[in-house]
Amino acid sequence: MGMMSAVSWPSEVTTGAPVRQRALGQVRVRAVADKGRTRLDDLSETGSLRIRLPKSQAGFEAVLVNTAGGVACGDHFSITAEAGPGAALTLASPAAEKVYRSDGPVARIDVTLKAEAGAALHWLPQETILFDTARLSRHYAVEVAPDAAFLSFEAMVFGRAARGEVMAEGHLTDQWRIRRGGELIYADAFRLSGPVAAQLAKPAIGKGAAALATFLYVAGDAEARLDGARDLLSEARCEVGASAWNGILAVRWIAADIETLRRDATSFLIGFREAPMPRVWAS
Amino acid sequence: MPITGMAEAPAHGVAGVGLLPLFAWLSPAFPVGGYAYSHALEWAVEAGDITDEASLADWIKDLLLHGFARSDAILLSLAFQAAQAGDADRLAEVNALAVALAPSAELRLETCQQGLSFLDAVRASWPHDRLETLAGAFTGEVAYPVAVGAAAAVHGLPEEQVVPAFLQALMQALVSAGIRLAPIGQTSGMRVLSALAPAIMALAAEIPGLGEDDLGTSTFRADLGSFRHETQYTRLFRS
Repeated sequence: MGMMSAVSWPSEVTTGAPVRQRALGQVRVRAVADKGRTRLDDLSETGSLRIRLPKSQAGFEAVLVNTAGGVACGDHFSITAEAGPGAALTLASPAAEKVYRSDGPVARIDVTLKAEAGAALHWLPQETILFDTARLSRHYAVEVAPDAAFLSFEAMVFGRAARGEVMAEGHLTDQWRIRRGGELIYADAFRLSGPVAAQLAKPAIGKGAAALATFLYVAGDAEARLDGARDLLSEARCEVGASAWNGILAVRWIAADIETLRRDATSFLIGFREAPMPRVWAS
Repeated sequence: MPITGMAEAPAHGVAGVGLLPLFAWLSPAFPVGGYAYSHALEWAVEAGDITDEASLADWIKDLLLHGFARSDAILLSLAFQAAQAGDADRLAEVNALAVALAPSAELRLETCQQGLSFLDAVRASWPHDRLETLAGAFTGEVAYPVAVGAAAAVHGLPEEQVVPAFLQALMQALVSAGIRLAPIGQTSGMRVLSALAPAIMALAAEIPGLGEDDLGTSTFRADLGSFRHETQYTRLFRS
């Protein structure tokens, strides 16, 4: 076998699993405030991750693109995004991220986010779809200045119910650490490993759900906005709830399919952010 | 094995009492206020997920193997090791992580109120110099498993006994809440508890080898239940 690029395009084979080399990718984006507007300060890209900066009516948006066409066995991606003092930066992705079947090493995604003094950073990727036997480990490290705001929404789909797909086996761990002014204020460790569908069937885990999502908002007014957040959720068809404490507001959704969850969650996000969804969400 | 602290005065624990402190500390009569918390079981009963002995057993077993109990046992073990080494900085770090891992307002109250009450009660009634030295690690909130791990370590209780006893105490508190909330009798509840014993022992045996990277729960819906419990119309419990 000759030399191959570390990054190559997926090719479908009869098993439905793409066969390709391990993908690596790193991006870093930094936005700063400049004369009352947010502009790009620094951008670097290596491997199969890219950042696009589409023209946007609603603030400064950076779109994360994975040219490897998904995440597979042993891939390692790192994403760093910083909103400098007073800047407003929103990150989004143009499509759902697909995590393919893996019989080898666990794929890893590291996300480092920073909202500096007076900044607002919104992390709004579209959902992550895990195929049967996918193996993924994600680490999120977030730093929020005491007077900054951080908002995130992450949805996970364990097999696309609408296509009759089931994630029977696999592995997912998500480790979140959020620090405010250097102090650890929020940690989450999600771990679903082994017989995924059988575990999701259990009432304390998912009661048969295939789509889960979590929204977090860290800001000085987080607790004051709890009632408003609950009002925005009152029409939801999913099982959903909100809680707030210590400058954190959290919302969780559970649904049988991603379509229902997405409808409920986007309606909430539009209301809560008082802004449309990033344009790439609609395309 | 030399027991450090034995020569210290005035408060150094009482020698020759075996596991008796552990029995007292994990008894429902120990003043930590455990009876006030259901870990969202009250919502699960309201939602119709817990209706009888079998459904109570399933729900509780998932909290044991895939939920907060497994993570709390790991945190207890990390706190135990930090306290045994006299490492107040590490103990503070483990405590900060344990507090931050609380997924909702009510579950944070549940662990922090019991943690502080536990620590206060042990300091007042089973005083120990080494616990006083380490108490500086807890400047604000104290997570319950961290308080138990630290107290047990300074009093020389064996970790391999403390972990399963702690897990059983968590399960027993849930069974007790279940009996009060659902049409489940005392005998049914105790059958649920006794049936869990092998799973508790098997889990406890794994804990000493686990670290921070092994923390993790999948009981997403139970945690969501604790969000929803906040607005539940009828409530006997604070979580």
